[in-house]
Order: sequence, then C-alpha cells, then structure tokens
Amino acid sequence: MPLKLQVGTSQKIGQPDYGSLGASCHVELELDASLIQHDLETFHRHVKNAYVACRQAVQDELARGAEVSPPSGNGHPGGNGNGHANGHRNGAHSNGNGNGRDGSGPRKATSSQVRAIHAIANRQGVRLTEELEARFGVSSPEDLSIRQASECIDELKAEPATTGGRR
Amino acid sequence: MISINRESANDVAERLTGRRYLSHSAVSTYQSCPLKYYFRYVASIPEETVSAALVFGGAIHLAAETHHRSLLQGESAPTSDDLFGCYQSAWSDFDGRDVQYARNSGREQLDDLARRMLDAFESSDVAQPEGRIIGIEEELTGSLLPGVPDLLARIDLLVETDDAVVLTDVKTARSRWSSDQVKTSASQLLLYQELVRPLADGKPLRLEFAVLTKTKSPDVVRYVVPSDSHRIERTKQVVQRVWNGIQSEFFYPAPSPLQCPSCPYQAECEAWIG
Repeated sequence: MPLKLQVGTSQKIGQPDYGSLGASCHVELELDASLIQHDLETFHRHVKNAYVACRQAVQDELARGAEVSPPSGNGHPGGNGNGHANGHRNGAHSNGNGNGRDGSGPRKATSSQVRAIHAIANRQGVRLTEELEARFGVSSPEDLSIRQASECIDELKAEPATTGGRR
Repeated sequence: MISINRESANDVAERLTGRRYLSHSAVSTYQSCPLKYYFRYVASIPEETVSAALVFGGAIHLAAETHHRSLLQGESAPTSDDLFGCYQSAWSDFDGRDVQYARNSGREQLDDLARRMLDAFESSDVAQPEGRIIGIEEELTGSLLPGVPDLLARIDLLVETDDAVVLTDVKTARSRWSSDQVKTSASQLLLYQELVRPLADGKPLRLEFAVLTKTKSPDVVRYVVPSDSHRIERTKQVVQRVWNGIQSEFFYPAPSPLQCPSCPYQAECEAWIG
C-alpha cells in the first residue's frame, strides 16, 4: 500500500515600501508504506530530501522574483504588497495570494490545469514544450494564463492520440 | 541601539503550529473547542481515534474528485465501480487506525450507502458541471486581514461558465440542509471567495455547496450561498477574533454533549488542568 507524503515550505521576504515577496512549494510523493514500520531511516531520508528540494525551489523562486522586482516593489511583476513569486513545482497544489501573481495581467494557470495539461499531453504523445511554444509562446504550462490553459486543454483533448511520440 | 524584531502573523502561526497559515478547518476547530484546537494544532497530539463519518466523508470526496479530474483531463468518466474503488482506497489509508463507528453502523452499512450515494452523484448535475473546470482541490493561500496569518483554502471545484466562476464545496450530510445550515456553513465559502476572486478575471463569483445526503435514497442538492459585503466582513472579524485567541494562547475546554463523545482527545482533556 502506498504511503502518501506531503511536504512543503513557504517563505516571505520583505520588500521596500512595506511590500513582500513570497514563494511556496509543496510536493506530494508516494512511498512504500512499509517504510514507516521497517525502515524509518529511509523514510526520514525521503522526507528530508523532499524538504530540501522544496526549500531550494522556494529560494530559487525568491531569488528570481527579487531580480525582476523593482526597487519600489509596487505593482510590477515579482513583488509588491500583494505579489508572490510563483511557487508551482512538480504539479503539486500550490499557490500564493490568488494564484501566485501580482495584481496586473492575467492569472496563471491553476495547478489542476497544469496537471491536466501534462496528463493529456502524455496520453496523446504530444511534445508539450514545442506545442506550447508554437501555440502560446511559452515553454511551460505554468506560464499560461487560466484562459490559455483552458484553451490548451480543449485543443489537446481534441487531438488524436499518437503512438510514436508525435512532434 | 534599540532594535525591534517584530514577528509577522505568519511567523507567529509558524512558531505556534508549525504552519504559516490558518485554515478554515482550524478556525472552526477553535470555535467549537479551543482546547481541541490546542491539542490538534499546537501540541500536535496524534489522534488515537478517527470517526467513521470523517473517513466516509473523505472517501466520498475522493471519488468525486477523481470523477471531476477525469472530466478535466478528457478521460472517459469513471464507472460506478471505479468510483467505489476510489472510495475504498480512501478507507485503506486508515487501516490499523481505531475507526469509531456510530451506534448501529459498521463498514458494511457504510459501503452500501456509499454505492447509493455515488450513483446519485453520477447522475446529478454536479457530476456534469456546465462550463470549463479550472480547478479541482485547488489550494490557494492569501492574506485576508492585516495582522492575521494567510488563509489556506482548498477549493473542491472551480468552474468557469460564460457569465461566472462557480466555486463549489462538496459536503456529505445526514439529510438535506436547512436554510439555517446553509447560512451557518457559509463562512467557509465567503472566506474562500476572497482568495478566488483574483482568478475570476472580473467575472462574478457564485458560491455553492453540493450536499450529498446520507439518506436511504441519497440526493445531491446544490445550495447557493448569497454573498454580501456585510456577511463577508462579519466572517473576517470572526477569524480575527479567533486568531486573537490563538496568538494569546487562550485555550480552554468547551464541553459539548454533541462533540465530546467523538472527540479523539477525551483523555488529554480530562487530564488538562490549565
């Protein structure tokens, strides 16, 4: 029986003018449930590794957000009083302040949409990165807006499945 | 030189509970019994028992989630047996735990009920939502009030229609809800809508409970939660007061003949002397 392990971490850093920049990363793993009873050391190693990965992702995201955040931290991508860096990782459920975006521009795809896009693309044998770049000018489903993600899902669903890894 | 190190509300929450946010469930727990909140979220005492109703509700919930995820991913809808398999797999997570059943109830009766409820779900409009699904079990966090930790919301179902974004929370209940029950449960969705609003891209939000009844002939009933600014503000103020209690470490027992018999912390509560 699989053991579901959910770990995550969040961090918020201060920005000028009372703003803040935050990022969160949560992952869900399936482990062998017998680890709990027979191999706690391995279990703890998995937990520790997951936390390390989450913390690293959060740090990277904060660093990336800080790079693009202007000194005023006001109403621009990356940081303001309400803006969180995007904390999506590995399709886990994670968001910050209304889906991880600053107040301007369309909201990014939800984690459910991102997960669905990956699932459909895998099933259909679609090379997702190429498809996204050609159709939406982005390389990752996380960079789509909610509306674009819905369109992408509809289009992927409509495509016939391929067997040889089309595109 | 004097330096001031001021903790943010999220810092305080993390120091007390290990989590940098509040959930609606945590707020509700504090409202029902502050000492139960303490045992669960601050002392992190493992619960020795778990109520069958809780496991059952979670198992039905998982089946509904699986169904909606299949729709979003363009797969054929799961069969009744598939959904019942999801329900059973949720139970298996509690193997080895002390599951407390209500009087005159056991796993077999609950399994029979689950089959009927899942059949009712499959033939309901909740299973075939109009519009595009944009979120299933979607987790959102955000700040609702200054000085209060971020709220974590897990949205069961988010659907975008031509004229609205519909936020649905799936519940199981012994019977259909009264209007009072809808009103008292509304706080959860009123809070959640504040976090969902930025995703709606200017469209109005519609808040709904989808209640699956645990009756002989199960029903799936949708209840629309009306939203008005007074109720939203009132709900936020409740959260503010609850947080004031938590951060002041104001924990005390709130005995209730309805709640106590199924409380997993009865021994700890008895032993508590402040």
